[in-house]
Amino acid sequence: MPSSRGSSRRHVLSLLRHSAPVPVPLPEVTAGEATGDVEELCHWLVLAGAQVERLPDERALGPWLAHYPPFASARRVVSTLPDIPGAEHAAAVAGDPHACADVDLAIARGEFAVAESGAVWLSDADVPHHALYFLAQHLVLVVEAGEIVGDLHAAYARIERAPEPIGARPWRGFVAGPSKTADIEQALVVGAHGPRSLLVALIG
Amino acid sequence: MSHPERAREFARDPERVAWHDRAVWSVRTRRDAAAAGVPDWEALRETAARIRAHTLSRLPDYLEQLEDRASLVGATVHWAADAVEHNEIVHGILADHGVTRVVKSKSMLTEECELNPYLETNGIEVVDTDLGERIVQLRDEPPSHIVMPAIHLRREEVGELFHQHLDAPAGLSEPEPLVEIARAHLRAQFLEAQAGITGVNFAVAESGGLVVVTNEGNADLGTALPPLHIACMGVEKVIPRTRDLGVFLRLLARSATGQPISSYTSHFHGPRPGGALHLVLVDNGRSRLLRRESLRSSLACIRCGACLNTCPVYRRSGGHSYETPVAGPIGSVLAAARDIEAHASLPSACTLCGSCAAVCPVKIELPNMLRTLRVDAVAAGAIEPGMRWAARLGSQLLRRPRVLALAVGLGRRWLPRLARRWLGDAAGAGDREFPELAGRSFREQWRARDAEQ
Repeated sequence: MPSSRGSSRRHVLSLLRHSAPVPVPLPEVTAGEATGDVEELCHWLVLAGAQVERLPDERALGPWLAHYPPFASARRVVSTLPDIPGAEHAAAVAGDPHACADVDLAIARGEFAVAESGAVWLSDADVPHHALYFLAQHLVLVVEAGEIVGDLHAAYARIERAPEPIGARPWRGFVAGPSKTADIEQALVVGAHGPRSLLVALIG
Repeated sequence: MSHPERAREFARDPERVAWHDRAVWSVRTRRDAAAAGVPDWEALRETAARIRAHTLSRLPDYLEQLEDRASLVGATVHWAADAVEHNEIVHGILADHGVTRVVKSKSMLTEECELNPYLETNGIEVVDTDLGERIVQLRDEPPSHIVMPAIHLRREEVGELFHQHLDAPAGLSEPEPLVEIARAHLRAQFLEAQAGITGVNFAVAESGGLVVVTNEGNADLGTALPPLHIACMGVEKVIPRTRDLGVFLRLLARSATGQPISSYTSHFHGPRPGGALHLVLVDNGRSRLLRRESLRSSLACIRCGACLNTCPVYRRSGGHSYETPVAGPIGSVLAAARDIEAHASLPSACTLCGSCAAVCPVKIELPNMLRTLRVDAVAAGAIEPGMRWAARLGSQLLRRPRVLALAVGLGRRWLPRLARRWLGDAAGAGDREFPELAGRSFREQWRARDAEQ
């Protein structure tokens, strides 16, 4: 629905049309590296302040987390994965996103990772709203080790090819580390407003 | 005040200048390392520049497509011809929703439009949520850098500020506890906000998606919690396809901070469940810039800040010396192109060293543009009388070889002494010596060379 001020729309578009230069072609974009190196992914994630843990299968996550300090000290854990001891299902925070305010640790699935960027693509349909990824004090993302693309070109090629179009959900995104800032004298501090830590569990 | 006058103020504290120079340069060196790590970096820059050139050549088409697709996924699209209309639209949306408390993530457009003071005079409280922006907001001053808004401040000053405004204990200056105090303060703001305003890094015409990039996660908290999200963007931020994001995102964070990618790259398609999303498309002089071929590609800018970090003038004069929402080389171009009379000194706040063009991820020819804008400044009669007379004198001399020879003869004797006297107290020149002059002038050497042959 355009603005009620339709006149500005026409005005801006006509100004731009009258200012338009001679058309030049749109270049093709490289397809990128379809497969990514797990070591490269780990390198960038760790450099960005994340922790990476390789696990043989998804069932190993629950027992492993028992010794993971942010999990061990968490009062409220919300997860989209089953079989996490003491965790509530993410459906518990559906509705008002403010319900995530006291979540200490959130566990969700990453669809794939990008080696060159050290980034995980989040598109977990069981996460009711993106507040969960950002309000939780700590975040754990579970990614299949076989789902690693080389670079962002391959990542977007994959996103464009996916059966569900990118616009089908209101929020999707790359996460590449915990929340951080260097706004005070360029000193890097982890834990700005969002999660204080990021654990990426690579499965398989 | 002119740029040299403001720069002189900044230069009054040499220790701060040296520190600022080092801090900003360290970001440039991180950028260099990151760029060197990408084998196809130059091809990537070229592709990015060509995607932007193409998009600018078909801007109305892509904007209409963006409007169409964004509407399909549930956004309401508004068009603003200028800053005033932008501010009115944003205020109108907030008023319709009965909003009195807004959180805002970084947006150079809203700085350009001076949205905050407008909303505040209309009784709406605006909290900037990027930590650097919150710091300068509490100090009641503008950001001094587009990526690092508080880069001009020392940790002790931030500690004192937090002591005054956020109940921090006196004398605290360690970044970690200061960030922890800001975290508690800002998370409370996020939870209580009735609306979130964000900028837009890239808008994808094909999908109607809005991409916003942060390291702190503040744009996400600001849009996830309140039911109303207002995204404001200049019309030049649109890109054709989802896959174009791969090109720009590989360049953006590496150029800005040396990271391979920022911590959070969010893709918004419509409002959060149960919420509303409004997108405001703003011209505010961009169509005029589009018309000028020599300045057009400045609209390709992705606001990474690399040209600021590398600029020898920016590093030693500080962002506030530009008195514009965007400082540095790109800010000088944008401000002087908008209003040459108000910013006549900016095109000359440049040594034409070319470093900015060398690091620009979208290959904007900033030095050429600044030279063009110097011509504009002269044509508008907006340069200082001293410079005007010097330029006239130079032009007369260069047209008369004999007079020039005479002037060079005199100048060779007096120039070093005069230069020391004139430049001695100018910004950053106090401790510099005039270089040793060659024993013979060029003409004398040329004549001697002819005689030898």
